Amino acid sequence: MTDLSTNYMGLQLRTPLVASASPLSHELAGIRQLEDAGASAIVLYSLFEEQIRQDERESEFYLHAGSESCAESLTYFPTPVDFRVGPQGYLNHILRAKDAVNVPIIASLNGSSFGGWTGMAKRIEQAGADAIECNIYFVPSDMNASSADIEKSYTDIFRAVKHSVDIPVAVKLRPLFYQHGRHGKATGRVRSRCSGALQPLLSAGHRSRTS
Amino acid sequence: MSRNSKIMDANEAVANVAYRVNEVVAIYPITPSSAMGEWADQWAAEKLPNIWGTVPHAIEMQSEGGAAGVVHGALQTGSLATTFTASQGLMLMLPNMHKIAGELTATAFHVSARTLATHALSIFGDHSDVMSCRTTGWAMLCSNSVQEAMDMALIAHAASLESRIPFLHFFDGFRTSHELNKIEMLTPDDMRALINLDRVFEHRARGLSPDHPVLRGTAQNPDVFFQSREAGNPYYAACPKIVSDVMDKFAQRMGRRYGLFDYVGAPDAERVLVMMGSGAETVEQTLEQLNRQGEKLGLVKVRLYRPFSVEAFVRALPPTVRSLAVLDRTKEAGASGDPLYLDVVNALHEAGRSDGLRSAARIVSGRYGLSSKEFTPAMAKAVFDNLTSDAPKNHFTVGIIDDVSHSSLEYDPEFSIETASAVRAIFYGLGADGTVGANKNSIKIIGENTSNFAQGYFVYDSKKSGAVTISHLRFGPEPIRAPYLISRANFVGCHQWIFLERLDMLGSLTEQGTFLLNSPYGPEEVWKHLPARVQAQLISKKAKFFVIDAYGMARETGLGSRINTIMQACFFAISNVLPPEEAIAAIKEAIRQSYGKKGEDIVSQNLKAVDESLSHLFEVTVPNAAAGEAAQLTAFSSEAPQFERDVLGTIYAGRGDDLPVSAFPCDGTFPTATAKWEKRNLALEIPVWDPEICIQCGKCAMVCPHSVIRIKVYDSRELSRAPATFKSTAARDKEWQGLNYTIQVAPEDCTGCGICVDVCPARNKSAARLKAINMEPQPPLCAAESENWRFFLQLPEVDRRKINLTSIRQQQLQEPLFEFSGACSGCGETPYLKLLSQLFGDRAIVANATGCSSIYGGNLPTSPWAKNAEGRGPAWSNSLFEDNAEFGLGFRLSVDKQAEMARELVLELSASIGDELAMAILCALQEDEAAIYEQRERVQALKSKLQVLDSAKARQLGSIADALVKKSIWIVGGDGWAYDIGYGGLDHVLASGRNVNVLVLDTEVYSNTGGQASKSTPRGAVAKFAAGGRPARKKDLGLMAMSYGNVYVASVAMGAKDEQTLKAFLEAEAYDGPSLIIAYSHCIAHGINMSTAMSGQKLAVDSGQWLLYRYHPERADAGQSPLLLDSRAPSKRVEEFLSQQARFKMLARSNPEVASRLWKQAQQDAVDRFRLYEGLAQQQTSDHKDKQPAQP
Repeated sequence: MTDLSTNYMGLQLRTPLVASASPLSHELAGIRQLEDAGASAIVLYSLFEEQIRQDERESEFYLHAGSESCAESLTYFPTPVDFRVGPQGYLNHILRAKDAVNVPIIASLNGSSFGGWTGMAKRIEQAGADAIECNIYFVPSDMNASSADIEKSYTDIFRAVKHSVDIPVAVKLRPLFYQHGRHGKATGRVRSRCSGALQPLLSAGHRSRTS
Repeated sequence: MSRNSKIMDANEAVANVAYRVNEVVAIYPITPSSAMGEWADQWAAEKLPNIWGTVPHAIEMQSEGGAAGVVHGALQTGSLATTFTASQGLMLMLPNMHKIAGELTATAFHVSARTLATHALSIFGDHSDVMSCRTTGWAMLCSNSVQEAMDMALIAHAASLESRIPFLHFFDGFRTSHELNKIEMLTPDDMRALINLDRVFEHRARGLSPDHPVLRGTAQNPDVFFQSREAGNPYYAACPKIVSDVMDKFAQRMGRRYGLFDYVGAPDAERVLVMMGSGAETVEQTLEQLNRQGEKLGLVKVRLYRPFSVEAFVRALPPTVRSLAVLDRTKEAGASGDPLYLDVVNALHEAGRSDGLRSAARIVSGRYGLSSKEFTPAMAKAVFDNLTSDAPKNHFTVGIIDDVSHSSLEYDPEFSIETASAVRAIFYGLGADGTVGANKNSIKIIGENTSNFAQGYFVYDSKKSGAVTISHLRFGPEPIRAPYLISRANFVGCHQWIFLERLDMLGSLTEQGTFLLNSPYGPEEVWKHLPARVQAQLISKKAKFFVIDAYGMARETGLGSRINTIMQACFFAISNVLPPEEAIAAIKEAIRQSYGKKGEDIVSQNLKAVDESLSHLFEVTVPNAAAGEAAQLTAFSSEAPQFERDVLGTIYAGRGDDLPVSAFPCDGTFPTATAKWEKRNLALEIPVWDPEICIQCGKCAMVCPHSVIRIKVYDSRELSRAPATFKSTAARDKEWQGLNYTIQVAPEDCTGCGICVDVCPARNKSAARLKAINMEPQPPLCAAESENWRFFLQLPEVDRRKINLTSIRQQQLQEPLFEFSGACSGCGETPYLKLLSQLFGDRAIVANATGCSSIYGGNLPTSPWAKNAEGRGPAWSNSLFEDNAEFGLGFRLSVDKQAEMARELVLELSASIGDELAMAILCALQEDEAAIYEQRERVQALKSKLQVLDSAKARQLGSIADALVKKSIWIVGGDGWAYDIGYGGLDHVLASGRNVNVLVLDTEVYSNTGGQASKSTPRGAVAKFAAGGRPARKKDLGLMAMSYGNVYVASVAMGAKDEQTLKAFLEAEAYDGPSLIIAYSHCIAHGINMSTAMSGQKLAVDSGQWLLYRYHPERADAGQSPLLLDSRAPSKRVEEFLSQQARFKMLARSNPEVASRLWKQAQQDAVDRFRLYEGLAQQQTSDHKDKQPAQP
């Protein structure tokens, strides 16, 4: 049998077939199915910092809307004993996914602030993820920002995340995003020092690796 | 032993004891006791053990009667069991209480004493409920403060086990149940020390068991019942001594000593008061001050009211007493005196045989504090002063002006005993701005982190939208025993600029006090924007004046409209209640504790707000002179009728306490159509109509929860007098060709919920974000739109006979006779009531179950139920919570009987009336608006004829002639009533076959009492009493009603299919039999975005979570299935619906595994239910299977 094993960000994989972030990884059953189907590593669905923040604000708002207004209904909900907002659910999912399968589990992270990127990355690492894929989704709306500025923001995020964890870090990039070679050169120093990767996403479901 | 001191209210303090010394807790929500049950349920959910290491069972029942039954059963089988209740709830427990006492069963019920409904309901506190229990044979033990409530709760349970007499432990509803105060906590060891375990074993041994069977609850006959009833006497005789012994044991351990009757005051007092409840604290503080000034006053605090120990009472009185005033917080109309007074009179009469001195004292009776009416030191002094008279007023009242029976004592409102060392602060806020929450937090910070004592009491508005909250906070080095509102504040915080015009906040500010204002204007410009009255007060009081733009800051820091943290930080910065640095550190720690589990982002937002508050807080230099004349506060417009203006307007302005007895009707009857005078100006934004885009569908008016969007079509000639900005366009409906069309908004009545914009189907193609109706800031529009509104109102109403009621665009032209309610902004119930009022309001009588709809429908000062130009409109009444279906059936029987009698008389008098008119009246079917109109005309003609007939029968007919016109009976209530407490009655009424219309406003939760689960609560929803997510399916009330076969049943959701809702209302009312409409009503207790709640209703239907159907018994006559399923097969997953609502999402966050399981079951429920209904809808009646099904 042909040996398809490969190395991705320092992770030794049986084949180059890695399941990308998708709803298939929402449930443990889906994760097991991906492993059974031959995925050599599984990138979990993305954790969005903005969504967590929105969730926190929403739950705070809706659970307290109308409270302390009327003498008969000072609150509308019981006080929860164990109330989990924030990334805890995702972190638990990493833990359970690691237990469920034998292939590397790569967490996917979308941050919205520097503190968010680095803080979440650290917690993902602590939860046991084998690597982190940074899912940067940024729509430039500043007409005065140059391409170099935008590329730099990606580099800065990558650098910050990589400095906050010891596990490998990849960055998912959209196709036609920029001159890959030039940006790769610019980030090469970071990569060589941190054994991370920049990962242009060339088409849906198709990745190329730079490491 | 050192014990923790904590800040809490009496409900929490009592629940702490009751939960720990019992094994079964049966609960049912009722204000103001609900929180005790909620605590018990929460602790059981958290697996908190009682003092014997086991977790009590807590169960919510369908009514207080049910709860009492469960407790009775649990006690009879040897468990320790308890419950909590108040007011009507206690009345429902009475039958079981008689049994429990007759069987000499140890238990204690805890009651936050509340007013019984008489001429009106009141949620507030007095002793009318507990005094109705005097005949039950229960011991009655009263607490006067939060600390005492905790202590007496334990004493009650311990003494009951020792004596076998059941105990009713009570304390003042709201004043004590809701007052935050610093108390020393009893520990589980304290509780174990007081509860005699041997007595627990004896109680268990008496329990029913097949291992040692006995018979209890026999039926007895005249030969022996009497003797048997007397057999328990020795237990009652022993009870006072037992209670006294338990109190002594308590004192030895805890240091707080109580007696059956505690005397305080001068040992040689000549004037003495006797009373129980929180008012005794006020009297004690007052007499201490007066005695320091040389008076000789005393007070007997009654602790154990039943069994009443004559001997202990007389012993408690000082031998020097010359005159006694006995104060009752209840009214026993028609009695020779109120109950405590009669007990005292009797005690001294009986004691007179052995104690001539004391029994010679003169005794007078007084009544105070009904429905939480303030009882202040000034009133206490007036009661003592009355006793100095040679002929003191007897059967007096204090705290009101009684200009009818002239019973009231005069008092000096300026008299005060407030100490200089305490900080007294009043905060005026809106419910939505978090003011109360922040103040509760401040009290905990000070009370639990410093040696200071703290007290908080909160006064709430009766409105659910735009509710004003007034927080009264006291802090000081001494324990605070002042159960009355602050009348002299050294700090006043106004958290809403709009209050400056409406409320007199600075009247209570002391000289050189501090005024903190949340102001959109900075320190340089704020002064010129202040009303002259406020300027004058600030100058005359030499006040220190600070401003902060809290809303601006809240927006900057992402807190939205929650200004609580900002205002709290400012209070601590300038009040000097704590050193500012220490206070700020404490606030930050409290934020971390309070918000920690809500997310890091929330914590950091609030911490940031604290830091930035201080740099945005400015002191304003108060000039020497005011800018203008101080205007009086005004409430209602001068156009309002006199009663509305002088009485209701005064209540609205917050000066209801000043109204004398003569201002009020003697039987609780008030005018309708009064909400229109309020003009609350709540909305920051109001809808603005764009005639160019509008397709004139009428949906915006239909869904408007506050009836502020109105439509008229009219002749263009009417526009000649229109204001310049009044909008008008050509009517699109073919039947209104040539007429003009206007949608007008009432700018001052709108609450700004935005539901109209959500449902508007017409998009502006040139600006995608705009629709035919769009929200815009209210202030710049208010003046012009108010003028437009007034003009609009005087445009003629469309003739009801010409409106096609099956078309929403036409039907919405009907004038709403339910308008401007104080329901929550965006309420899901009120659009249905408004529709009812439009369709049938001119002939409707509404029986309204207690709940949200009775509060926004009938809470003084105003009512949204309105009248048309002819003076007709819904007549409305609320009886109770549990009996509403029966109440409404009573309306039907009465109206039908009157109509029948009137028809009999018409027939009998037909020769005098004229045969033609008589026959026309008797044969009128009154099936539509035109026919009803014609019948009204005939009845008018009949009345004219009757006036000239001089006979008894003619006068009889004249008195009931209106019954000849069709009346529409509506029985309205929420799911708590229909599914739980009122279900038995509802079932019977539906089975009666009588022509009543039942409208269930189904919010799937007890909304009015704060979100407790009902049997309508769907699977997986988190609610109080279902903190772990409701595990069971929602009860299918409609299916149960359909089983009778002759009940019209409809399930509707206006936001999903408004035409179906309209059809259901029309069909239900037209059906000559019982009708039941179950209306999905979104609610703030769902944790949803209220502005898009109608879209949420659509999602409920699209996912199959809610079904739309109509079951019409008459369809069966035509061989069709009576059931018409108006829902399509679910096109969306239930999860999509559940994930939109915090009530479901909360479980996913607190217990994801359980949530996942329940959500899957909820999906299956929806699938199964749709299949069941689909099958039923396809069934034809057996006799007509060969006939073609009718088209829907």
